[in-house]
Amino acid sequence: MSDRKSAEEIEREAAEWVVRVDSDPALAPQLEIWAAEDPRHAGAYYRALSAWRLADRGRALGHTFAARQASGTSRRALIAAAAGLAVSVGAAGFGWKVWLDGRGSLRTAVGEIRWAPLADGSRAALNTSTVLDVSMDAASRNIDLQSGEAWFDVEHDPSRPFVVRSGPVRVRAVGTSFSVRRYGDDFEVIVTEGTVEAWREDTPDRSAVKVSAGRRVSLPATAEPEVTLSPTSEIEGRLAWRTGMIALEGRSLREAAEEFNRYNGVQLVIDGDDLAEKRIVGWFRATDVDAFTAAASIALGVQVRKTGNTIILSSSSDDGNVSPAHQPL
Amino acid sequence: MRTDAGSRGGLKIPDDSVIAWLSANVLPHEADVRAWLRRSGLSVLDPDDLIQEAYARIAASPGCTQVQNGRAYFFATVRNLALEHFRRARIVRVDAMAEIERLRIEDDAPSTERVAFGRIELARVSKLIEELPNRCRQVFVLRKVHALPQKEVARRLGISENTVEKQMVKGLRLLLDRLARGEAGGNSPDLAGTHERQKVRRRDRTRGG
Repeated sequence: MSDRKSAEEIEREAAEWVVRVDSDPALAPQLEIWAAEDPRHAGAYYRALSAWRLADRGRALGHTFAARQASGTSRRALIAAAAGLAVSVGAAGFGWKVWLDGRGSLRTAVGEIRWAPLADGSRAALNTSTVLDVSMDAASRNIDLQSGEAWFDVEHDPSRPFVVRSGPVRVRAVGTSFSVRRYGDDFEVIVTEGTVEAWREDTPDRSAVKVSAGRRVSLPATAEPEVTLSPTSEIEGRLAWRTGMIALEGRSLREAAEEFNRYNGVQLVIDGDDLAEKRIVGWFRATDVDAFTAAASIALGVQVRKTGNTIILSSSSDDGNVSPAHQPL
Repeated sequence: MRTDAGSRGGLKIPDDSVIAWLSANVLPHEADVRAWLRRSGLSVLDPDDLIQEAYARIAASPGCTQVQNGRAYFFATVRNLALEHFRRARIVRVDAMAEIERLRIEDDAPSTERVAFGRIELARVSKLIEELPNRCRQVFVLRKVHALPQKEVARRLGISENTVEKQMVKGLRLLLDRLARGEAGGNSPDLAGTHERQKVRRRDRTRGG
């Protein structure tokens, strides 16, 4: 890629060819060799030649033209840069008035995302299929994450440590923001602000790892905790569920399907290992499987088959290069 | 994948009717296509690359001069090229591609710009030339408006032919730049320009909503 000629360089060369061949048609064979080197060469040449042709129309303006003074340079067109794929965050699901005094339980159904204020002023966001028990008193703040995933924005209170327990895993914070995810016997903690301590009760020494903002730690049953420093974009992506989104930052199609399957009754199946390993990027509404499958069918040229509650994505039977909907005109 | 190259290693440059068609039906819409690319969040692709490839592909397609709606054809070609790029990519930007699909309606929209362009063409060309830097404009006017040969332009201005050539290249590139940015207005350039810009902003807002 690095030795690839820039579009600007090609554009300059093309403009030179146009001017030179116009005054010396004998150069045409050399031009044709240059143009054959790269489709962009040819394209840039046609483009420059089109503008050259456009300028020929100036002939109709005749000799009055030359006498005129140049007018001031026109203002730059300030076309507002595209907002691009600005993700519009839906307000649905927010503002739940679940106020927990003392004890209580919070749960979400499949596909449901729920934000809940807690009695101490902290906030919790529950991802799909999550069950959470809360118990707070004057000396402690305890959360039991039975299943699923939750993110906490913890109100600072040194006299009452905020402890999330999930199976054998413990995460302790004072005032910070972090998420805990339980899948089977594996656990993952992501810290977005401050520092937490995390450990497993079922290890011999119960030693805690300190995890600070911008890092995540996985606490598997069979191995040592592993702390990973994550770029902000990755952290944001992994917590995109808080706004009902799935962020696929370079994840495989297989992982993408697993993500969507967490949120939806309809289950995605990827047919073929090559296809399943294809890496993709994109933000989607977690419950909008159709948008995802439509995008995948366009982007990867995959076939989409629906049978009952299952959607199967498979490589197209033909070369997979051009799907029927996207034939050139 | 494509077989643009002729049999003797060179590329057959399409005849003048194709270039004239590009000049009248494709080039005027380049600024809109570029604005559309910016809005569609395809920043991972180089729009300059796509545009250049699109010209090559359009010019190489047989019978392109018979195409009625050059604007739609230009949009469709760029879109197909973008899709091909994405499919070849190691990591596929799936949401951006879906966006390309959603945006396909845009090229079917009635093109007031296209109609307007036919009418204001001359004024637009005039303005483009007028706005060139001084020396560049002098050379350009003699060469293009008065259609003098390069040698004669050099003689009249007392400069070398090489300088004429350099100024023409410079002028042509400035022209292309203006066309790409959609800065060339019409009879009332300011009004026309403002109108177009407002329209772009409105579309942005609608989409961002």
